[in-house]
Amino acid sequence: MNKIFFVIPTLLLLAGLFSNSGCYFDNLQELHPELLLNNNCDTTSNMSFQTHIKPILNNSCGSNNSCHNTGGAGGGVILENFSGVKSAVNSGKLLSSITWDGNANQMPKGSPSKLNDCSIAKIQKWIDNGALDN
Amino acid sequence: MYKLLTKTLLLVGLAFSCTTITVEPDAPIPTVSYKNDIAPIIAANCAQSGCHGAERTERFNLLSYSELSRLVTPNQPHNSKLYNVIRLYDAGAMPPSSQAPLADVQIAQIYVWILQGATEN
Repeated sequence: MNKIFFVIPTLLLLAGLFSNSGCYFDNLQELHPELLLNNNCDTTSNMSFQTHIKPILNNSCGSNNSCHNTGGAGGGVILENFSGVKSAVNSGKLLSSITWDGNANQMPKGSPSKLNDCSIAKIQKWIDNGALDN
Repeated sequence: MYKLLTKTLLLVGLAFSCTTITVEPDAPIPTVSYKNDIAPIIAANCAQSGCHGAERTERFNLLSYSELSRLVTPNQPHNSKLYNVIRLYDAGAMPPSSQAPLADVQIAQIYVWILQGATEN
């Protein structure tokens, strides 16, 4: 009878271990996707190249994969550093390509739609404010 | 007696090991659109030339909804190849390790899009 007081907690502990290892799918994106998706577009603050613009270029223009980086497939338009981005701004191509105004190839290449409005608004504002390396 | 107890407890443990936890969202989950949200992500991160794009494609390209939908089981992200490779769960995780993974918000958008039925909306 004494043995049972040892065995049951041990088994419960083991069952607990099983349950923990089984649940690696629990994560923020799945439990609370709204926290990420309802991230309201705030373009009231000053747009910073590092904080606001670089992540958009990374995630949507391939400046950290094989599109618009050095040696990438992006037609020599390099968006992985400030000087490359600045020259695309000065030629007008950066804004034209994402707003689809007809003066540059529509980007992202092959996409049936433009980037989301928030990304475009942030880039537009950053350019309007002088496209600084801030 | 102990054997039976052992088996029962292990079975109970397994049965509850990964039940889906239902969490009330803190706010409504917005509808994710294929055209406005998903397609630009795929175009910029998967369907570039040299990868799953038009020129020198990998085994398949991801240039259209019909191509992409072959990797998706509607309403079931965890049974969708697309989701499992971008979460880096499956062998052959994508994007390949030489490149940066998708952003958290992009992964969340793809998760919700599949959960909502993965339509060409």
